[in-house]
Amino acid sequence: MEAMALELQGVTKQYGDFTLDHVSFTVPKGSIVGLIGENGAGKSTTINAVLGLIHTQEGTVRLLGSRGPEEVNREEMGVVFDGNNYPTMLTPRQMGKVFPGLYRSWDEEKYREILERFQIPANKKIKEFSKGMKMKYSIAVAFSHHVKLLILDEATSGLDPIMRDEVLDMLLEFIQDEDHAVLVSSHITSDLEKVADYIVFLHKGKIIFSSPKDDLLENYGIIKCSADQFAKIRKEDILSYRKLDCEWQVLVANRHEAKKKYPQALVVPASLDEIMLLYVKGEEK
Amino acid sequence: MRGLLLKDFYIIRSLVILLLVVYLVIGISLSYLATPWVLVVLATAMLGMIISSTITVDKSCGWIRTVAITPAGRQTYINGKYLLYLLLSAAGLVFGVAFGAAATLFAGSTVEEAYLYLWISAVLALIAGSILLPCHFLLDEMKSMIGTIAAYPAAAGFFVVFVLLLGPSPLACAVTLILSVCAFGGSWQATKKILERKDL
Repeated sequence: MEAMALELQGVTKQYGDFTLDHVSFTVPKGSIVGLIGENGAGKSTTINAVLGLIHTQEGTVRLLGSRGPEEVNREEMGVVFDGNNYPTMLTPRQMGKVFPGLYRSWDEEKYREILERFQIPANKKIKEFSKGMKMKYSIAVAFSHHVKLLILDEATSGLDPIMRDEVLDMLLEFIQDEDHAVLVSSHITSDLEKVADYIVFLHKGKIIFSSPKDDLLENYGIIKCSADQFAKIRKEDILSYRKLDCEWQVLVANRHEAKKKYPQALVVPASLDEIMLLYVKGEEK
Repeated sequence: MRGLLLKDFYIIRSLVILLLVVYLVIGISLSYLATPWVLVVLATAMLGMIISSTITVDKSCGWIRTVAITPAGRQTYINGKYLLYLLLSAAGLVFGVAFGAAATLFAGSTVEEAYLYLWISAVLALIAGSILLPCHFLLDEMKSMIGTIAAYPAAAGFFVVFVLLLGPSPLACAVTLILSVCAFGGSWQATKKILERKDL
């Protein structure tokens, strides 16, 4: 059985108009799990629950073998939040003197090396950074103490494609150590298609699926057909569908079977974006 | 905690010069209008109040969330702020005594006045701190400002009530100081408990 870096079981959090509803998934060691979902789906709420920043009504979170966020060894956790979470009137050099007081495992040399690699000026105040630079700085901090579990909430948004590629390479390098694991939430599903091992799709506070990425990309498909052809498609084959101007699009879990069953229709592979779009904007038959 | 205090030191450093100018302008005027020892009360209050700025900065940039997920955690964060408030108030007290003593060379005063204002400063710092710190941690910006504004008059009111009841005596001094320490300690513990349960 795979060792788990992170396990959520039945995590529930209620707000006035939104409920994170019995969310359960795992992040195995040595893997990258991508958390996807539309804005307001509950990705950040899930991450906040994992980190113990919010208190949940039900459910359990186990991190790195501990019984919960209160008991985990936080030296081993690195987090990148969406947006800047550092005092903006300080410089990276000053923050580099603050962090050794917070983390025993702080690696000053690695911190300096990553700042240089990301071309982040050490003596410039954080408030003068662009959005992308602030995000790069957050990533630099997360990698600068010896973590086993990295949690990134929209960490690549605001980064240019070159920088995003570099960060994804760092994540792949990070999980070469089988003891390490990454949970990354992102709107940029193409990034997750490159690096993720598993995809968890959250929609309106509920888990729609939690599957290996390769299974999704190799098996899920979209049937593009006419109205007549759509009428012949069996209900149990349809995960979701959409009527567009000149065609119907139907999301299926196994496109190879769908090709055999509906030879008249065009069946194409589905990207993560398309899967998400059809689940969110589509209807069930 | 060392890292948290260093971070606050960097923030405070940028405010100190402005504070010094304001202190000297107001302090010199009050020394002539009232007594030089009012400089003690002023310095203690002004330096203590800086803590509000650091908490406001932390809340606006999300630093509290960052600290909450580090090994330091929420409890150390709160401890750091309360401790820093005590250190800043103590520094204000010492600074104020030094300035007050220097001012008495020109304005003149008595030793009894010095003790009285030291007593007032200590009680004011502890009672005001027990109000303004939890307000800043637990309330939004507007309400925490109101809490800060109300903290010092409330502290002054507390002091006046006991002086009226017991007279300006060693007994009143002891009672007010003990109650102030208890209030500060109680505020510290309560804030820790409440912030531990609060969603960040």
